[in-house]
Amino acid sequence: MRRFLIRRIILGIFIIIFGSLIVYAVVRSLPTSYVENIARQRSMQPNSKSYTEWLEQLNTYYGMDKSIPEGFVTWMGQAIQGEFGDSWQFTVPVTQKFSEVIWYSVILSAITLVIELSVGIPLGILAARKQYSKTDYAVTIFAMMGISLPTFFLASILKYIFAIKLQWFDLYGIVGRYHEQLSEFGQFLDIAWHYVLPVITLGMLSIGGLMRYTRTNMLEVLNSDYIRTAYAKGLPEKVVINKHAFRNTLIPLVSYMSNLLPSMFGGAMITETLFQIPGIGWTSYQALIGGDIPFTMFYMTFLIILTQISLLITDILYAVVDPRVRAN
Amino acid sequence: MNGKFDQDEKKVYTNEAEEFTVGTLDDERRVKVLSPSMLVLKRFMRSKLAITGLVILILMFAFSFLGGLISPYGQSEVFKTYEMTPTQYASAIYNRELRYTVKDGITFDNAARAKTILAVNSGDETFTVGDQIYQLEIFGEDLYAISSTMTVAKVHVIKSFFTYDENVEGGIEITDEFKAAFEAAQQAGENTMAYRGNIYTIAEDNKNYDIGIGTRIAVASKKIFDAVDTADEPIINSVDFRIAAEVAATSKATTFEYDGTRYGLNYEEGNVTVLKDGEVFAAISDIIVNPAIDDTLLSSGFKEEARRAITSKENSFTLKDEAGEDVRFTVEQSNANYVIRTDMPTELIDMYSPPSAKHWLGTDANGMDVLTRLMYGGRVSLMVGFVVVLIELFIGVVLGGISGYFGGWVDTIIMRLVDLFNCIPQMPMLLILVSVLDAYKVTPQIRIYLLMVLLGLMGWTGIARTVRGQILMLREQDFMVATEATGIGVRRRIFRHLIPNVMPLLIVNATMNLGGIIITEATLSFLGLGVKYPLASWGTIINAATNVYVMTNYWFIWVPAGLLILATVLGFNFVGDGLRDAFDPKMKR
Repeated sequence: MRRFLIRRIILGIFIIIFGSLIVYAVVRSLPTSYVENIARQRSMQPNSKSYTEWLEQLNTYYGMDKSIPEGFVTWMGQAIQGEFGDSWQFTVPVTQKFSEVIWYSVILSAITLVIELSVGIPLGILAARKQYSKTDYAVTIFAMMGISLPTFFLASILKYIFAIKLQWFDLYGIVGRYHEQLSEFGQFLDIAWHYVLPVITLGMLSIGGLMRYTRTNMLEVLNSDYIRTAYAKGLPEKVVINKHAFRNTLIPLVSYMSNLLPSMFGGAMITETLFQIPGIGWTSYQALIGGDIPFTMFYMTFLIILTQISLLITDILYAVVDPRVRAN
Repeated sequence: MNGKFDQDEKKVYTNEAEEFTVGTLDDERRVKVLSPSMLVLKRFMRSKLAITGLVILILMFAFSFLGGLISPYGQSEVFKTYEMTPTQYASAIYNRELRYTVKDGITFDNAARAKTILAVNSGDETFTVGDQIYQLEIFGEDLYAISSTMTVAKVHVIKSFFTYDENVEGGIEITDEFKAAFEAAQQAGENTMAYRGNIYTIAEDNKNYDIGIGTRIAVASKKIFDAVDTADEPIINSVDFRIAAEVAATSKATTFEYDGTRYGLNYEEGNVTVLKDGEVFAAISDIIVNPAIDDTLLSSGFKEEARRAITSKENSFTLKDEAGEDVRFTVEQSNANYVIRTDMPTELIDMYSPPSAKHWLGTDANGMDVLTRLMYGGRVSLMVGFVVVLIELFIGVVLGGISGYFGGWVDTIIMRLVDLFNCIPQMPMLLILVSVLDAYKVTPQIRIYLLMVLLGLMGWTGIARTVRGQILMLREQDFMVATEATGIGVRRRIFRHLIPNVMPLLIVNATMNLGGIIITEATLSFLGLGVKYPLASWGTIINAATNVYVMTNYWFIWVPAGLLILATVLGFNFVGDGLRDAFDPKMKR
């Protein structure tokens, strides 16, 4: 097991390095309009160097004059020391911007996750227990709808109905118009109110997948021999489902949760953008579109690292919940 | 035995419970034998959701691929509409400055006009521009005639020999009478001479005499003359007519004579009209009326009405047009100008028109038919889905197959590649990649192809893994060992024995992937980074909803597109689900 984990970690590090190299190569082929803009601005100032001189100096400063491998090595060297540079789009250090916005996303994902788990798993189990019943069909269709709905369309529909027609919510943003005048508790409620639509959007989309996954696993477990044995022993249905079946459905769910970390800390890009929640998703969307190389590199590497960590955790968790894995 | 079987034969088909007790195992009639594909089809048909999905998909395909043929409109046909909008038709202004009417063939330039004004203001009777001397005649307030001396003859005098230069431009015929008159004047030392009732001036310059005559070359007046018939304009714009008419008008005379014709004058409400033979010939006024639209001639009737409305300070007037219908004009004063407007049909792009019989789902921001665009957009969306899945299948099957079949270091390398691709977050990476496409300004057509390739490159890992897993599993099975033992070639083993067994799972995966790809493409297009105008996909059409105004007021533009995406993806997922259950009934759940 230890040998396996060490191999896994080494592999993970290689993947992180090569993954960020790929991202760096792609990002570098974007036009560096930012550097040109800054150079133009500075060259306008009195007694300044010429535009080309500024451009040269800034390109050197940002490592744009180097070839892609060289530039990557420089970037990597700084990144390891925690130096991600200044964001071009937001003109503050990347890490500062990140720590400003990350919690909006974490809260959003956390609430969504709680709702997703508390609705998706019970409904999935219910559908599996009453296979081919009306409940099952309803759950299946609902789950399929959730999977098939594009985020942006669901968000637009929700905004249309609840923000425009019913006027219950604001169209955009995380705070209301009179946020500053509210008491502390009022401000909290105000923010919570603005989270409602994004949470519904994310929840509706993720519940479907989880429901289907739970249903499939539950059915597999319910069809297995030890459940038949449990029934045959004369155990009450409640005990069979909750104790024997449910615990075993959790094993495959572990792998479903493997992308928990990236989705938790990576932000919901589309949803945040549509509702203008100032989380990491919206921020990184602006950075990606605006060709903000330092922020993009930071964000992408961050996601790749998160993916690798969560894969590692999944492997460990598998060993924890399933003794058979430990034996191998 | 045989006899007994014959007796029981009927029971086989009437009583199923007894089926197992009779007959031999290999009896064909015992079980209805179906080919594997027929079995799959039968199981597939039994699933209600799968059939629903299939019906949805067929409808979507018909809508997208046949709809475009049936629709009477083109993909990027812009619809126009005519609307009556108040359009500026003419403008009018009170004339406050002298306007010049100049005789044909004579230049009276701006410098001369400026000098005229100076002379008028200072009360001078003559003024000089360059070496030309002009006389100013005052006929009344704001009516001046400008005359200049024109040389009609040149004479060179030596002692008493008179040499007449006969080639003077604009000169008169030099008769003996003229010579006599000149010689008399010259001898008397006078600087004028009379000849046939006209007074000529004589200017001497070193024995050279220029004989000239004063001619009115221009009229400066503040009055505006408008001809009823444009054919009369030469007469009306002639200097002498203007003077005759205006002098008569200032003195409120009812008639005047010009060039042997009698003209009448009619005064009413500050407007003066010139009559000829009892008919209105021209109008004299202080107001200039100009057309505001190019290539339009304002009728004298319109001008007259406009002037009347302005002088009587009315806000509007009505006039009959050529078809005899009343047209209403409004008069609006802005500073010294009067703007005359009327409702005129203006061609407008038919933007955001609500659903109607002509456009079942209305028109969009570009005046294009939404329903037709949905049809063509569906083509793009579905085509993108299929091409991307084909690309994914190609890469996935080749790499996954090689990896699974050969194993060893090839397998390790390919699987690490899969890990690498898997770890790169798909959506952010796609956003960066399409930003690169944006930066290089790829044309919309090529952009679609590149988009397909990019989506395919980002999504093949799942299929590669499935294929590898399947092949690893199948490789260990007895029938594969048997193919190896019987010495079947590698190529045949792969294509005849492995691939057909991988196919079912591949088909299921591909169907399920299609839905995901359509959503991804729609998301990119929605963000304005996918398929670009003038091409459309369903996502591009919903992109209109990013504008809150459109989202609020024109649901018919973006909601149908969203429902189509939902239905299509749902259809693919239902069919994929049904196929999976049909291929592998053991997995049915």
